[in-house]
Amino acid sequence: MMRLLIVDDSNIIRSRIMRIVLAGTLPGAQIVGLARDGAQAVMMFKAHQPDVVTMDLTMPNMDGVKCIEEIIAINPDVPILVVSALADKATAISALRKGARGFLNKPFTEKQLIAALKEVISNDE
Amino acid sequence: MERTKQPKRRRAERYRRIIIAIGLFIVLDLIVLAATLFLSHQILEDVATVNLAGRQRMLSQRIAKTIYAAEAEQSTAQTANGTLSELKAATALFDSTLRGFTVGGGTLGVNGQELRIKALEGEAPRNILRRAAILWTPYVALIDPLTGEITPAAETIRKASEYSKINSNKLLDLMNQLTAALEENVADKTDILRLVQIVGVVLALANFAFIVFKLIGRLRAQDALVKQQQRENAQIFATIRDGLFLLHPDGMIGSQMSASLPTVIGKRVAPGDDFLSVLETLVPEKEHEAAKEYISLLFGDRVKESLVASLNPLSQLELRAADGGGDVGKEADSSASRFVSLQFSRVKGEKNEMGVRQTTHLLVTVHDVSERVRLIQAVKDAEMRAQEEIKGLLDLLELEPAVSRRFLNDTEQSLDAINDALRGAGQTRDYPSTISEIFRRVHHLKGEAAAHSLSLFETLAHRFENILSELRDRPNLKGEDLLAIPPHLEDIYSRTAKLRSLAERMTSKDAHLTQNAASGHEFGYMLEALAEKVAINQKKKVRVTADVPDFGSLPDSKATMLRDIAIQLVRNAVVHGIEATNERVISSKTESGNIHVTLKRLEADKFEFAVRDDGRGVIPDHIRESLVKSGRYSRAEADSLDERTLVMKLFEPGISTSPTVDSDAGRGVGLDVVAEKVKIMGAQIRLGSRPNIYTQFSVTFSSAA
Repeated sequence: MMRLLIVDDSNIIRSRIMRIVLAGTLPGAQIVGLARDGAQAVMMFKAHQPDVVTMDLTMPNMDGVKCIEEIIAINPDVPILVVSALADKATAISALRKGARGFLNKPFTEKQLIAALKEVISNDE
Repeated sequence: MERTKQPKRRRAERYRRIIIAIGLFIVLDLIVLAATLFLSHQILEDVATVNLAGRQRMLSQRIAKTIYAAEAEQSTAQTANGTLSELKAATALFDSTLRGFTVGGGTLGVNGQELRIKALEGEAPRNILRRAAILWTPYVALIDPLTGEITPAAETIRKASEYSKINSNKLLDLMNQLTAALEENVADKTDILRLVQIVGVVLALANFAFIVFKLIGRLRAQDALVKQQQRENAQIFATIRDGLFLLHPDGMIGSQMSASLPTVIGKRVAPGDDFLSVLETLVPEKEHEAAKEYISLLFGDRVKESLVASLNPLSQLELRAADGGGDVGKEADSSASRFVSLQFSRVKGEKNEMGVRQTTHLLVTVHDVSERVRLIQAVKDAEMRAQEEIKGLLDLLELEPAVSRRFLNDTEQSLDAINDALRGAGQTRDYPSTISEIFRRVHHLKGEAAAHSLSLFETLAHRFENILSELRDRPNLKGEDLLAIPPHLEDIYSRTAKLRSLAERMTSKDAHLTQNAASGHEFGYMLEALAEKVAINQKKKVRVTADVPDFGSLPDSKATMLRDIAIQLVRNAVVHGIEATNERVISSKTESGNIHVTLKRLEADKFEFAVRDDGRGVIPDHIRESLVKSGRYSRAEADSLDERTLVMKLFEPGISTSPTVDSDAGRGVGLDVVAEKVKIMGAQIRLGSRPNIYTQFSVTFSSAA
């Protein structure tokens, strides 16, 4: 069972991640929330306590780095996968410093997303 | 798996031999110890027995002596109880000891304590005991009556005395023999004990020597193996072409690194150096900070290594020739940059108490990826070139076929003229004039391209101008410097030919190519479009009105030249004449500048072409500054020129009042082209201006050939 919260200001990206996750390649995967900005994501996280989060970085209201900081403050162990464009490596690294576990570059393929989600929730080193 | 098991088995085999040897050593020591203890105990017992045997000798003599004493006392009728008591005690002690020697039992020890003794073994002692028993049994029978009565009869004493005199010495001799036999037995056992100890110690020493020998052999083998591994490592590190080293958590470069590392990164580095300090000299501050953060992330175990590789800020690091700083650089073109890629891999240590293997080091590999980057750049360039050509083709197709054909013809003629100028430069060796000539041609081409919104040709011409500008400003221009020109010339040639071919295939063969396509309306429209485009580039607002109805009636040769003049003058008006919007507002003018282009017929074949703008006007001091800036006039010379002469200097090549160089101005070529065309047309040009009111260029010419 993997309960996923998708955070992205792009409706297209949210839908794409949702379709890929629900296509059946990840057994037991379940979407618990689709947030379009950081503030909404924090509220949904508190409400649903997901097992894993995919996080965009550039969003209105609250950006991804701040959002990661708040989510990690609630649950330091939750795996967060940053899904963003590689325009600013420094911001992405900053997101990882705040507690995200991995980074997936946009645009991504279905295979890349599935592999990244599996990796980010695995306990292997 | 099998490969890893085999060395383990070999190691176990080697250790087993040493363990067995150590085990043998211990067992041997235990055996020797046990034998020593056992024999020592026996020897102690035997020594006690010897002492008892020695006491029997003494007791046999004491018994005889007390019997004789009792006999003597009896003769004097003074038999004392003390003598008989001593006899009784000595007899009892001798008897109990002898019985103990014979069958085992208790007696008193030499220190008077109760003692259990074992029956003696061995043929010789047993034989002596048997003989002693034969003597003792009747002896004790004669003594017993003496010890049982207070005053024994004289006859009883006499019988005992007589028996004693006959047998006492025999008994003493037997006890002597017994003592000697027992002492011999002790000596034998002592010899055995010594032998056991000697053999044990010798065997233990031999075993110890074996263990030491084996251990030394093993240590030497391991030393040899370590040396071999170190040699092989050193060979690998000396041979590998990539940079390779281990990075410690404190940022220090490990004790071993590949010899090529300094060459690959173009810096002197040594084991133990601070990697981040080295990096600081190679990358800008922002990237350095990002790299520091990235490395820190990898040393932490939270992020997944495979999911952060794409964020590596050092995956493509540009090293300029200057970065090498003469340190350890490759012998390469000094203007060329190199690209290196630094890749980081976690090195895990032993598991901690939580069962997690933590990152102890990062393995850093540094590859020279210049070739890959150049290939990617070449592909991008090719794509950009293709896109430019497609855009160029589409721009051409938007024009009237006759106009595009004429543009291409003009372009090729300009390129031919440039080619001729280059060839001629070899004979005249007047290179500055050649550059100026080529500059005018290229600038003319750029103006034409801009006027027709052909951005590809405008861009190509602008790049060409950059080269020419650099050459023109170069002191002591040489013939080989002009070799920078042909590649650009060839580039424009080939693209023109390609676009011509494509455009002709795509346009209808029946296209009506009229020489009068460039009608007055079209000419006016072209100038408006040009002004608008230049205004956008200059971030200005401009409104152009063109009143040129007679343009279509001009002969081709005059129309072509007038078009060239018009292009330069309109461009000049937008760039130099019209002020920036805020400047105009401050001067209480409309935000948009106004340019008015007119072509008036003065007589049957005489025309006046004028371009007037309502901008800042011609300011003589600006021209003076430009003359000084060009380096051709000193400050004093510039100050001495009158206004009319100053204005005329605007038509000299290389003089521009624009503070910056861009695609529209700054080269000092525009009015130079105008002056040249005016001269060819046999026309006259006038400049009228009032500061902050207007500038007007008027060209009067005849339409006759």
